[in-house]
Amino acid sequence: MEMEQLYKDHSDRVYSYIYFLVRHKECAEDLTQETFYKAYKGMDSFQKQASTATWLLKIARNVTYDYFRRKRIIQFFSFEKEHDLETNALSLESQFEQKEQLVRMYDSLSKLKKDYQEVLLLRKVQECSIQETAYILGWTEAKVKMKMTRAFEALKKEFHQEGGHADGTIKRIR
Amino acid sequence: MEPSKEFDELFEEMKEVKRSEKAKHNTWLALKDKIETKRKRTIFPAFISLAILAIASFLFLTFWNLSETEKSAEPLSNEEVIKAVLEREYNGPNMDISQLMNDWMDLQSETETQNQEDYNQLLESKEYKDFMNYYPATFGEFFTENMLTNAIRANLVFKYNHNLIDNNIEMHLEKFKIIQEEDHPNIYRPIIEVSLTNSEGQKIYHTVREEFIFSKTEPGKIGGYNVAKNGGSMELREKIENFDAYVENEEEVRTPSIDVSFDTLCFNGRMPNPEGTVEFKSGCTSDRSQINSVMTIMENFFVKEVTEKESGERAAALPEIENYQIYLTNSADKDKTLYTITSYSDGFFVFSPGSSVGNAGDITTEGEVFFYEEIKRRLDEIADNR
Repeated sequence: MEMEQLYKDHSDRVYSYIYFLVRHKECAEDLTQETFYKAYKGMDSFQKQASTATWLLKIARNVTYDYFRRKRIIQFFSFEKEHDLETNALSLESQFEQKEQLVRMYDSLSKLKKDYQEVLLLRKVQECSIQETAYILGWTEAKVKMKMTRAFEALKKEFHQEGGHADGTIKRIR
Repeated sequence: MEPSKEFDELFEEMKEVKRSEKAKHNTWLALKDKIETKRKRTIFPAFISLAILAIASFLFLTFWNLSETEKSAEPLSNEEVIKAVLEREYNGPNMDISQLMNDWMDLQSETETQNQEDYNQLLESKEYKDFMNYYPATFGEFFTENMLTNAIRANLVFKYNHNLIDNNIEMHLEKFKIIQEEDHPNIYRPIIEVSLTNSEGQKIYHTVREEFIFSKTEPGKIGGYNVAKNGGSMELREKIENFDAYVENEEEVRTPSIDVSFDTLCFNGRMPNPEGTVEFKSGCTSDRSQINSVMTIMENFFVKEVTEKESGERAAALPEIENYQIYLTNSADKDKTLYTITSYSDGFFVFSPGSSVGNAGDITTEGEVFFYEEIKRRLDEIADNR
């Protein structure tokens, strides 16, 4: 496939995946570029053992983790305002509750163990199948299923713990 | 509400990631620029590969007879031959072959040839002869003539050299275990552990498997040399190319050692089948060779400490999947288990030190199915209810 077409077809998804991990637009663009560059270099060895999108996500994961390692960043899913300009736009009164819930979601996710964060991000945000998730993470499908169940349990526990704030401003989702 | 549904609304919102068209376009332009630069750089290596193929046949016509004079040396055992090949192949990069190749390529680039006669003149050059001599000088005594030709054509020798040089990675042969096939004793399948080290001294490990078939017509020479299917060769190249991405994942990884004295190995195998029933196998042995045949496989694993929680999760999954539990004890005190080793079908291993050892927590690793199958096969051979 021509590189330009590959980029047009998949760069938004790759960017979105990376953006969730790094929460910084410019950085996500840089890592997206790096992902496609590595894809270009590895095109010959791509044996079609997964879909092109899944293959690219796997590369994106490696590239991003490499970035984390170099920057000594060990946690993603942060919702820090200085790293996320779009978050500020949500501060309108009408969107307050929605924002609070999202903040709580990110906080809850950030407190989960890394395995759980990864599997939730790929399955629920990136909409990868169990097979695709297994390929990206290098796990068995059985492990993906097991981790998903446990991740949801952990998320539920964490999310509702967060909901128990004394001021009662954070509502639970029903 | 089901947890999976409860958060759907929020997950939906999380999917909405805005990206400006301008930023997207700029990223493409930067990527395009990078690719074009890379393309220019790769023309040269591509030319090298073609040149290797073109001169392979000439290699034997011109220089092979030289190796005949070397036959008077003391013959090596098959294991020694394999060791010699592995040492040459898995310690690198080899800068000599790289330099010789570059010298020859430089000469061709600098010298204009108008016709075949001009080119034949080049083939008489010192650069060409030195380069061509290097393959038989390095591997000639270990391979049959035919096999060396094929090994060069298929890039089976010095196969990681370019990758190592391009990525500034050093490879070192850490250890290997040679397994001779029982039914076909001329076939050997070594399991090879190599380390990769970058310029910052960071190190990762990898295991690969290869196959050596010794010639029946030329005893002591390799007549077939193959990279084992799914043997980890592609993954090794991937690790060399993307070294940084693997460093974090392999931190604090080491090879396990069973450091307690034991003389008995017992096991229970549990194999659920699709009909819902479970087949069991068990056995015990104090035969040292049988014990060793199982335990030596452990040496091929990398292990890493895990939390009690992770260990608990794995234990919880056990009833659902095929697994073998191995217990190491002393015959004088069979009630006391010194080590419990749980082998999963997906390649997971858990080492659970007994309380007498005094270690806290478990040690585990994500291994390869191949090793599990090997352990299973060997345990099945000593099962009471075979």
